[in-house]
Amino acid sequence: MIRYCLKRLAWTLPTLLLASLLAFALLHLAPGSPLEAASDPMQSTGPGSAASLERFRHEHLLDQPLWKQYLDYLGPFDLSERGHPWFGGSGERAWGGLLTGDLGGEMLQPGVRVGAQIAKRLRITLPLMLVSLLLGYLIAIPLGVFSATRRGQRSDRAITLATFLLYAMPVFWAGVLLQTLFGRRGLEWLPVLWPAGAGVAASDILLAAILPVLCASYAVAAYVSRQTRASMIEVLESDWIRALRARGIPERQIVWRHALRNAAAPLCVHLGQVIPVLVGGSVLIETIFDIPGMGTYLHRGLIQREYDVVTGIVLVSALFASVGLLLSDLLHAALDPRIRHGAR
Amino acid sequence: MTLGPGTPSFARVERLRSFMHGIVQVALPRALGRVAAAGLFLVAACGPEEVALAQTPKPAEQAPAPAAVAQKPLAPVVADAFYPGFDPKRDKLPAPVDGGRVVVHLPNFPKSLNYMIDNSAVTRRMWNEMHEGLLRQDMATWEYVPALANRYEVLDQLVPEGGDVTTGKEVKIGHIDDAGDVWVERAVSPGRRTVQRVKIPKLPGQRLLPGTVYDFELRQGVHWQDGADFDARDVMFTMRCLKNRFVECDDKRAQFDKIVRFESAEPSHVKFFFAQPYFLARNLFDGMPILPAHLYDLSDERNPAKKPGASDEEQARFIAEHPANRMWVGLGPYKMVEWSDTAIVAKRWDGYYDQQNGGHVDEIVWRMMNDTAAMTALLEGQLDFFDRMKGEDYFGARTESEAFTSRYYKGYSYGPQFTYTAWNMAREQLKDVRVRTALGMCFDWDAFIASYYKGLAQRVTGEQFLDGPAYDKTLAPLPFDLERARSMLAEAGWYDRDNDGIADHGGQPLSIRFLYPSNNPTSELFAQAFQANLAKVGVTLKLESLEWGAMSAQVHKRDYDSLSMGWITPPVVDPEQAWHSKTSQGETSNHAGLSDPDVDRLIDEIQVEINPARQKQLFSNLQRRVYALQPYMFGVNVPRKFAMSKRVRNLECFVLDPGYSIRRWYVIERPKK
Repeated sequence: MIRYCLKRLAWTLPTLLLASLLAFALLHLAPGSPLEAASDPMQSTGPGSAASLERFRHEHLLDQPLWKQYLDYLGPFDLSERGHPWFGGSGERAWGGLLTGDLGGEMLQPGVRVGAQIAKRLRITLPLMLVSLLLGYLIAIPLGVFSATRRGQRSDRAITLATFLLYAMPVFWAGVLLQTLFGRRGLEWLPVLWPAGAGVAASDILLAAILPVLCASYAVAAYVSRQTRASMIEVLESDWIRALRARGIPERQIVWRHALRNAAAPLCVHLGQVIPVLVGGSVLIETIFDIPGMGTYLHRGLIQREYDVVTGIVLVSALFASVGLLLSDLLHAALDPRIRHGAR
Repeated sequence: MTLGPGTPSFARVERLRSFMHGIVQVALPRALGRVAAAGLFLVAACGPEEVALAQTPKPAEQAPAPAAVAQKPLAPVVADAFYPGFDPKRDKLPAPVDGGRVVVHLPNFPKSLNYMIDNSAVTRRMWNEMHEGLLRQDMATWEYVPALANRYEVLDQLVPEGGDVTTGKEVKIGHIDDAGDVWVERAVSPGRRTVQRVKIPKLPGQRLLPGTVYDFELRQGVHWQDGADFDARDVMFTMRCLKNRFVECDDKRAQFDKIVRFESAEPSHVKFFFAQPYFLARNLFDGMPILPAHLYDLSDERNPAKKPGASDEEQARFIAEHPANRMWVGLGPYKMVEWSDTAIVAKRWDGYYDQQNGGHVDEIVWRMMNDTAAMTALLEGQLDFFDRMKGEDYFGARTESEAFTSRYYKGYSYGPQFTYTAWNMAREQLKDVRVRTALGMCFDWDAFIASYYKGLAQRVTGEQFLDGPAYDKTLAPLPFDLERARSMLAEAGWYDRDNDGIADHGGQPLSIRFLYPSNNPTSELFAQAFQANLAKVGVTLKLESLEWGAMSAQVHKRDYDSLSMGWITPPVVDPEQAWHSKTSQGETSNHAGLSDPDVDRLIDEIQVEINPARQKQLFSNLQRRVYALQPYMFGVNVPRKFAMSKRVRNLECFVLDPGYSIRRWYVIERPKK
């Protein structure tokens, strides 16, 4: 099992490199650059001079071929003017790049490191994501089981309709609805935006997190409940379940102890698929609820063409997806002895 | 209820607007008359401009400015003009109360709080509260009042043949008048009275450069917010940075390069020398981004990171990466305490030198959020001030709801900004002025203003602020006249030769690519209506909506036929960057690529003309010349639409950016219903 895990983790590295290459290439091929994106005339009293733009491009290697820019991003040699002497740099900043664990810096805010920013913002996004995931599964599994055990009945049809509706509901629309319902325009129960300013109490943050968590978890719940229902129906119709019933084992025990355990294995596979969706959804949710997390950082990075920001977040998301898939495989193996033994 | 023409609220707003405009239309000519008189007086006397002030700056004590045309207020500023149930003429504002906090919307975070290297409007807005300049342009009166300067004097330079203003070699400095046969140097008393006149014989090759030396006496006892003393070292260091080609401040450097020499003989005195008169000289000293030398100057003994002999490049990099760029240490009444991911927070600072103007609220929170979230925040009561309301929100049901009206009121004010469509004059089909003029007649602005803007927009015919002193209101805009447009196009050789409905010339159809920013419904509506009208005269307008970064890249490359944009300007803007031929190529703000000798000559004359009457005439001539050439299809000035919390009082709407001054606001308890 350990060898299997190590092998999987080893595959993560080329996956990440490929993700960084794709993100890097796509971003650079898109029109615009950080300086152009930032020189919004409505926000600036005037664009920088041609010389200033040229200097900026030169400093950040934007005037260099794409392969050189990528190698600089990849590291471990810094290829800029201040970079490694082997490549004509001053040696002031010889090493750097992804291979040294450096996700780069923001071009428009010199001194702001992308890695530190992502780490800071993950402290907000990650708990929100995990709680949403947990809540989604906690709602979905009983709902799916309930629906499967009442297959074809009115309650099953109602749940099916509700989950389809929830699954089809766009996150941004649901977010605005939740804000309207629970905010001051509605029930006045919950804050609808993330608190800001000095000395915000933890309780305020917890309260402000409720709606984003709801918003992120309903789609997970809808999707996973459909999968649970399908898996459960398949299991409940199997011969060995019929045998259990023939032995007179109570139905409740059959459903929750025997059938669910078998049906849960495919659900673990979905865990790996849900995590990247949650990361993507965090862009919308964090923008709606004004949360200073990774999603808003990605949004800003895209708007301002901060290459290192976007590539860094793509890498972190890819890492999450890889880890999620690994976890789902391990869980799958833990729940299904056939896979466990096969792995050995 | 909606606020549209015919509704009671609209009528009330319109009454206020006409009241304000009445003031502008009646008071402005009088004010300008005074300006002109002052200008003539100044010219006749070549007057001394020594300014002596008490500790608290008072506009009335200012010496008249040579470029007064650029500095006179338009109209009295009415506080709380839109406050519900408050009549500024009848009612008195409640007494100011100290304390509380206000939450003000920011559309985006600044890249840095160091205005030297971040030229954004948001940085400038925060600097208004957290920092000071040598001079400060009073938001209400437009006068430049000494801020960090205790007093200042404007002097003249007499340059003999062989003299050099860049080194000061053989240059005579003082109050010097041209008295015909001789120069007259006047000694002036602190009360600005001439006490002695000395005749200086005129010699061949001598040049008088009036108003080209600014001599500042710095205020004593002013401290940076970390406790360090402010003195001439900070100003000198700032000037060295502005001259350092590696410091990312090219936009400012272009103006500060007009200062050819600067010196400080003692810690409380600084002098600046211009090579020729500059009509916006005072503006430089208002906008000078003074940096704390003890933190930023690598050659300063007090700097913990001092590095004697550091190169210009090292110094520039040190400035660009300094942590104080985010945790700003300034000289203003508010001190930065937090830069989080959602907000920038500043608290009132007791060490500010001018406590009487040191603000009322204890804490300012600049909350960064997109406009959609900001509207939600307003409806949730989480913002106090938001000045980027869209028309659909301003006139829409959401701002008429109880959730809104119980906490907020809304209003608008005109500032120096305008929209335009730039024609790329390098394009073959747009080279002929008749074509551009014809295109300018193909949009019904009056209908668009009435329907889309609900009347809250004004057409402009020039780049200067339409209610400002450099704008000529007598220049009528082009009419909406498709027939005339068609005949002008035909005169220029563009008419439908092959009966396909498209005008053509030399075998080429008249087709224009039109760039506009995506996610901008106004631009989109405008573009579609314009396209429909142009089709009627045989012109194909190909619409291309691009996300800003992509559009900007094309703008820099000048890869467009036409583009829709907007400018926010100072009330009086130096026209060089928009129209001068030296900016007609490359990545400049001359988006039309205008290059015209008459325009160049007028701009050059404006820049050195300090006689207000002549300057006004030159501005008018320039406006007419540019409008005749139609490099832009000038659009409209759309007012800033704002929502303000009812618990905050004394909101004054100014022309100068950002249009308000937080330090004047105070928070009162919310009035009971």
